[in-house]
Amino acid sequence: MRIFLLFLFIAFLISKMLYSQANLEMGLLPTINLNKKLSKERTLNFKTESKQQLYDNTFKYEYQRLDLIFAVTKKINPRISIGLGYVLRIEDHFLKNKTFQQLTLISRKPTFTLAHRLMSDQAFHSSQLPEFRFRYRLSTEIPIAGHTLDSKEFYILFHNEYLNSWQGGLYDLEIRAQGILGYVFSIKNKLELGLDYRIDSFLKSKAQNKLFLGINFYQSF
Amino acid sequence: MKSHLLTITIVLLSLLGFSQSKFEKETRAKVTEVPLSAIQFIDSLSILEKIKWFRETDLEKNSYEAKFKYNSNPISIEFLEQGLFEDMEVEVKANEIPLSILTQIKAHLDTTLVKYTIDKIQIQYKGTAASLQNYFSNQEFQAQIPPSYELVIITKINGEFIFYQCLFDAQGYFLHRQRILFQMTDNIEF
Repeated sequence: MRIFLLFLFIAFLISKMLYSQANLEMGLLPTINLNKKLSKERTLNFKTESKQQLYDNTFKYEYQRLDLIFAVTKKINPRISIGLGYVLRIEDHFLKNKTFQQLTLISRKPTFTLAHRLMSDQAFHSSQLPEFRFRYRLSTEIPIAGHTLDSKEFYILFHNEYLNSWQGGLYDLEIRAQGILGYVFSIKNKLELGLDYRIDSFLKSKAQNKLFLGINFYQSF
Repeated sequence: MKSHLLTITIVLLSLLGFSQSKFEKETRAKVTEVPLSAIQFIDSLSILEKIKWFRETDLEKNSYEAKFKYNSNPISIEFLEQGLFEDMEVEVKANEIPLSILTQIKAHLDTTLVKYTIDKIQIQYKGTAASLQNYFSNQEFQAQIPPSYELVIITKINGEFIFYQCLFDAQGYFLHRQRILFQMTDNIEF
């Protein structure tokens, strides 16, 4: 029932975007995640995420940006971890710096895994006002075969995130929904393919809709 | 060009995964794949709840498991590959097992672990088909082999949080323990 409702929610968002007059942007969002255990409690994460635009009310290819993300997390108990990170955003004509802090709570249920992530981030750029965001993300990972996720098995993953942002006294809300099909190669690596839908600016002006095809690879060392 | 490089990198890195070992795997099984004797055995118990079948594979054996809820307790009945009944596991709360046994189990954990949390308790029954049918008709399990207790324990050793599956005998005396390894949760953390 829960899976059906999530499917329904994503289908509703996508259909609303396609049939509305709102601005629409589509593209690719591949990521590579590398994790290294620094100690028994601490993990270092390095992630690259590149945004490639394929459609912006007309079809055109444009390599827009590359994010290099570094994060250190610490487990404070078996279910909760905290993390600090830095993002270097490389765009055509400038660099942007971001810092972020996160708290993740992972709850293993008999047939699925639930994760809550609270995150705050701060973006700085020489020609723009700083932007502050406070985010909440709910994730559900469901093994397709069996009650637990084992190697060489597929899984479904749903993310739903709410991003509150403040920049120069202006507030905006962005909502993201992702539906992903993943495959676990081994305990150390997995590959995901899915749709990432984002909507923002709908509070005060015309909504900006974005739809990305995400390809995510995870490798632990 | 950049996207091509990215694709090649993803494919190369993913190939690393095929060299990893696999020790245990549980997959959903269709009723048609389950040995007939196992299905007939479950049918004879007249269980009203929905039954889900799973195939479990490890280095030593293949088996089938029927999972369902009975009186709000999750139950798992395991069969050997040929369909022969092997054991039944009933998930219970700590207050559902005799106090003397729980005290004995905790005494062992208190002396071997500095700090721990009991995450899950299962009572494991072995016996015959008749004894299992008796369990579902009058809640009494006339086991030929006394039950054992399987606990999932979370503890911290040398600064690392570890999950153990511990087995205790019918009196609550420790038999053995095995570390549980989970898949990485990097995809829901980052």
